[in-house]
Amino acid sequence: MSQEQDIKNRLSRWVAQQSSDYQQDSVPFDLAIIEQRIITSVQIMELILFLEHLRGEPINPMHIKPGAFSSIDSIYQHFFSEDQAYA
Amino acid sequence: MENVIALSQKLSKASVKRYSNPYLEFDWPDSLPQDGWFFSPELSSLYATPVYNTLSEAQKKRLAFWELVNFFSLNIHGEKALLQGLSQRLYSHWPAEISDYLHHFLGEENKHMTLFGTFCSRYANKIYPSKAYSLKEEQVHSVEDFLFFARVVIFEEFVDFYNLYMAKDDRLHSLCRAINQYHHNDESRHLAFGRKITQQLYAANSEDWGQDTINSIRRYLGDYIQATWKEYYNPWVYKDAGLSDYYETYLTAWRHKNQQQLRHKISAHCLEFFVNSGIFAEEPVL
Ligand SMILES: [Fe+2]
Ligand SMILES: [Fe+2]
Repeated sequence: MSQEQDIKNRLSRWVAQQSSDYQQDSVPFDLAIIEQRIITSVQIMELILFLEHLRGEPINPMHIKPGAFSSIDSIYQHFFSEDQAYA
Repeated sequence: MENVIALSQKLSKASVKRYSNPYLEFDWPDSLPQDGWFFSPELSSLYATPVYNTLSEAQKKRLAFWELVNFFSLNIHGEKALLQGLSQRLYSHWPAEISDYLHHFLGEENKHMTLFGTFCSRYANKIYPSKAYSLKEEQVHSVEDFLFFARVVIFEEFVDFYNLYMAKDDRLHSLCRAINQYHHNDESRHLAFGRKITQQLYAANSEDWGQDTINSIRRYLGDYIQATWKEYYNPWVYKDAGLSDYYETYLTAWRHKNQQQLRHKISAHCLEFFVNSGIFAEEPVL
């Protein structure tokens, strides 16, 4: 499995676990998790900590671009892909 | 607003009387002793959790130092938001006496930040970033005003518990005690103002808002309390203190019943205010 696949899988399972209403073990990578309210504002803080854990370094929320959390794909794009490295 | 005006005048007088210059009041040694306490151990975010008992005295002190840096950092972030919100409300739709007091409030917060910032930059060479991230939701003006001051009360109530406790803790290094004492002296006025205006804004507007808005306000403030608490548990503090599984340590500490109890104890005064004012129907989960 590629590293991208692995990270997305872990994120997808983590997100599914956060929502008591969501029945599956994982969410589709393109699901609009904020819009669909799978993840709420207060859980984003927890998500940031989880992302820091996966990345092994701190994240400064002030530098996070709008839309970064909209789906698993966009989270990966913002925080893990090299061309879109989070500043 | 009559009672808020009267209190503003009283507090402005007190602020003038206690006007201080922290640039002259504080001495900043070149370095701090390695073997001192900088955070009351009972207030540590790992206190009475399994990992805490495995630490040596020296490790506990090292952890305490980084807990203090985190505490000062979260103060800085809270105060940054405070400065923004207060300056937005200067000379707006409220009587002039309120602006007079907001000037003091702003000036005092700005001084607090210089103390916290100087300490962190000098002795830790960093300020931990905040983890708070909010999804913008548009609210009507009166709700925005109310939520702003309600957040101020929550943030300052929690902080003040730590300030008061640490200012009195004679195990702690004198600089640490002095900063905590200095902060507490101003916070007692800020809290008096914050509580009064929060109550007033709720009483004056809640009937117009309707039950849906009130429910969403309650949810929002419950979430805000949780988010405020989460800032006290920082995996990077545990890493700087030399602990290995710092993310796991964070998860365990946050969920541990002893820490939950600690949060309850510290939040009690604040929650009582929100319940007694009718803002909360019941206490939120911590
Ligand atoms: Fe302050
Ligand atoms: Fe304050």
